[in-house]
Order: sequence, then C-alpha cells, then structure tokens
Amino acid sequence: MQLEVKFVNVASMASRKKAQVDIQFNWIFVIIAGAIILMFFMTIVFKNMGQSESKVSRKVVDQLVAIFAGAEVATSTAQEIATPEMQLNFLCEESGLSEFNIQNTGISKQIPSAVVFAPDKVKGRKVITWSLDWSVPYRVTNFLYVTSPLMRYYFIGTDTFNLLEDLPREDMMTREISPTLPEKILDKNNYKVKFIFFDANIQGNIESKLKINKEDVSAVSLAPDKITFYRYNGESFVQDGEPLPYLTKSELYAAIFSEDRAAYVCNMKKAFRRLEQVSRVVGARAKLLNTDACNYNSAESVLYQESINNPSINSMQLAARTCQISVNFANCKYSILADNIKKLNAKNRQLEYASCPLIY
Amino acid sequence: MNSLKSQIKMFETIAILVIFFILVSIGFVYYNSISQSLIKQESRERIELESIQAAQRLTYLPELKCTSSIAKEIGSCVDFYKILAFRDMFHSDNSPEEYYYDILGYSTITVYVIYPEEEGIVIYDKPKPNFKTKTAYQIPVVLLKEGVKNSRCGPEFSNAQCLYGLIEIGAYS
Repeated sequence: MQLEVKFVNVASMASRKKAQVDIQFNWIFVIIAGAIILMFFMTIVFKNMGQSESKVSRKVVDQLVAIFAGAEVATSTAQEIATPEMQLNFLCEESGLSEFNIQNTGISKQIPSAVVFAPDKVKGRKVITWSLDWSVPYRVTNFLYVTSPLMRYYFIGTDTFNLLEDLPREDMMTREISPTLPEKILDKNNYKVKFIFFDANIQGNIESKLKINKEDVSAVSLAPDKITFYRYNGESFVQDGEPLPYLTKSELYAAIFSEDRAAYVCNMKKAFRRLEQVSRVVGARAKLLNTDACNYNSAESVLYQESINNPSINSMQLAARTCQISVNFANCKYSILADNIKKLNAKNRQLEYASCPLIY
Repeated sequence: MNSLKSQIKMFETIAILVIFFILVSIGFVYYNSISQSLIKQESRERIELESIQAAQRLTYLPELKCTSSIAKEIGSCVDFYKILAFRDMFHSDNSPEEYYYDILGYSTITVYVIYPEEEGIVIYDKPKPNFKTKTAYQIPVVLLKEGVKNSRCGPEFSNAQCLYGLIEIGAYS
C-alpha cells in the first residue's frame, strides 16, 4: 500500500482567499465612490435644470411685461406670442392686488396700472394680445386683451354692435357664431369656454357635453345699454351680480375677454383711476389756456367747472373717483360720465369753431 | 510587503479621487464666477430695459401727449401746457406721486426746451434711496404751445408755437 502524501501550501491558500476578498472590497469601493461622484454631478445637473427653467420663465414674464408696456402706449392689431408650454394666471382683486404669474414657477409680476382683460388662466404655447384705446372722450388709456387659441368663444345672436369684424383672426381666437344657442354643447377639447349673447335673455337649461369644470364655463350678455355677466352651475347660466352700463365699444370687448364680473370691475376701476388723473391734467391745461377770446370757464365745460364740495377737483375727476372707489360699481354714476362726455364734445366743437385750442 | 503594496495602492486611488475633486471644484468655482458676472450683466440690461419702457410710456402718456388730431400729424409731440399742469400736480396737496410711481418708477424726468427758448422743467422727481448710479436717456420731442397768437406750427396749425426740446429720463440703479 502506498501512502500518498500531498503537501498543501497553506500560505498560498490564504493568499488566494485574501485576493478574493481584496477584489470584492475593491469593487465595493469603486461602486461607492462612483455613486458619490454620480450623485454629485446629478445634483449639479438638476440644480442647473431648475435654474434654467426659472430663467426661461423669467424671460417670458419680461417679454410679456414689454408687450404690456407697448400695448399701454399704442393700440395694435392682434399679436401672437410664442411661449413654452405653460399656464399664465391673471389676477385682479378688489384689495388692489393685480398681477400675472406663471403656474408652478413662483414667478409673478405686478401690473398695478395696466388695464388687462384676460381669463384667469391662459394656457398653451401661444398667447394672443390685442389693444384698443379707451377714449371718454379724450384718450385715457389702452385696454389690453389677452386670450389663448385653446379657449373657445360662442357668439350667439345678431351682432348689432359690429364687434365680430374687429376681433382677432379665427386661428388666434377660436370661435363659433350661431343665431341661437345650440341644443347641445359638445366638447371640442378646449380648457375654457365663453358664451357671448347679443342682446338676449339667457334662460333655460343647457345640455352640455363639456368635459371641463363648470368654473371654466361662463357667459356675458351684451345689450345696447348694459352688460350682464353669468356663471354656469352645471345646468344653466345664473346671473352674476347687477348688470353694468358702459360707455364705449372697448368696454364691450373687455366684457368678452374678462374672466368674470369681478375681474371686469377690478380692471375698469384701474381705468377710472387713470381717467381721474388724465382729467386732472386736461382740466388744469384748460385753465392755463383760458383767455377772454377762448373761454373754457363755462357751464358746459365739466373740466373747468369745479365741484362745490371740493374746488380743487373737477366734475369729470369726481365722477371717475366715485366709480373707482365704489364697491362693485354700486355708486358709479355712468349717467354723469355720459353726460360729461356729451358736454365736452359740444364744448370742443365750439372751441374748434372759434379757432381756439381744443380740450382734446 | 504585500500589505505595504496594497496600502500604497489604496493611497494612490484616494489621491486620484482627491485630485479629481479638486479639479472639479476649481471648474465649479470658475463656472460660478462666470455665472455671477452674467447675472450682473442681465440685471443691468433689465434696468436699462425698464428705463426704456418708462421712456416709451412717458412719451405716449395721455397726460403729456398733444391732442389727438395734432398728435397724428406730428410724431413725438407733447403739449407744453400739459407739461406745466403735470408738474404742478406733484406740488399740490393731492399729489399723485404714488400712482405715477407704478408707471414711471424711480426716475427723474426733466423737459428741456432748447429752441427757441431755453428752459428746464422737472416734471417728475422720485430718486431711488441710496442709489449707486444714475443713467440718463434723452428723447427729442416737439413741444406744442397752443394759443400763441400770430404763430404757426408747420403749415397746418395756426395760433400755435412749436418748441423743440428733449425729455430726459434719469433712471436709478
């Protein structure tokens, strides 16, 4: 019997085991170090992504502010502004806060003096802007209207006001025109729908297949002497507050583009604040121009005739201030404004006939 | 011996990582300093843009603009008496300074009549507290002074005098 003796090299066995452990630890070390490096760079990338998005949003806000500034000074045909896919929110409150912001960015811009009539949200990749002057009877400011092609406007009835011919093109302002309210309102993938009724009483239930919230459906009725706003309760339109008189066509367009009565009133108050200041300057100018030959101090001149209660304020200023501070326009005397406008027109004609400098 | 070798290898790896992170940090610091200077430049450009917007608003303000029919004929036309009335508003009890701050911001607006008379009229003055720089922008304008007998402003307008001037907007930053 042969005895086989095998000598086992213990040292080399230990060394192989050590190598195996060493390799494993090496890989663990590589994975941990690699993960730390990757996390470091991912943090930088995500931080920069956030900053870039803020930068783009800030640029869009600056661009819109520049457009609003331009619209304040000059009336323009409708413009289409290309933007990244986003939602612009417009806010105008009784408290005096007036701003617009980009959803989910925290970037906002206050617009305390700009008179902007817009839905509460403007979605999509395009923003449509259009401006018209508001002259009562002298130019006071420009109204800026903002909308989106993704919103749909239904014009119901006969357009006796000739509003449709001046509206932005149909590809900018999606609309349907119908002599009567359709029996069923179908969903056409619009995020907001507005109904404009020409001199009609809105009654009865409406069968709606719209797949949007009832808050995103609203209506306005335009009559020769008043504007009436309506809210949608899911079944029918409910009147929203008292009807409001108006002075010019620009206010009818304002009612079309406004989100609701509250937003319309809020922006009209900004307009009346402007009217007060402009009337002050125009009145003071009339006093400076007053001579024996060209007399501005007459019963017909509402800019020169001082009010009894406050001699430093003229009648037009007072009427504008009353509208500006009136809650929900309850005390706003449109009749006085309309009367003042007639008087100023008459006075201006007289001055023109006498070859005197005009009031406006 | 083997353990020394492995320790050296470990130190080598750590040293590579440390140098790598130092290089990345240097790159990061450099990137940050460039970003900061870009941000400062953008901030300066925004202030300039705001000043130009204020200037644009100013020349078209109904409070200063010539009456409609004349304004259409003459480009940058401001009414001389409106300027005086606008100035006087801010010196009255019921000053609308707060209201016009929303439109004109921190600025000083001066109307300089340069021909045929010479006159400087400050119509709005609201400097920024602790401002560092003031930049002036000038816009040439025609100042229409109506009601001046035996004068003409161009072939179309009688009893009116044309004055030539500049509106200077001093913007603060």
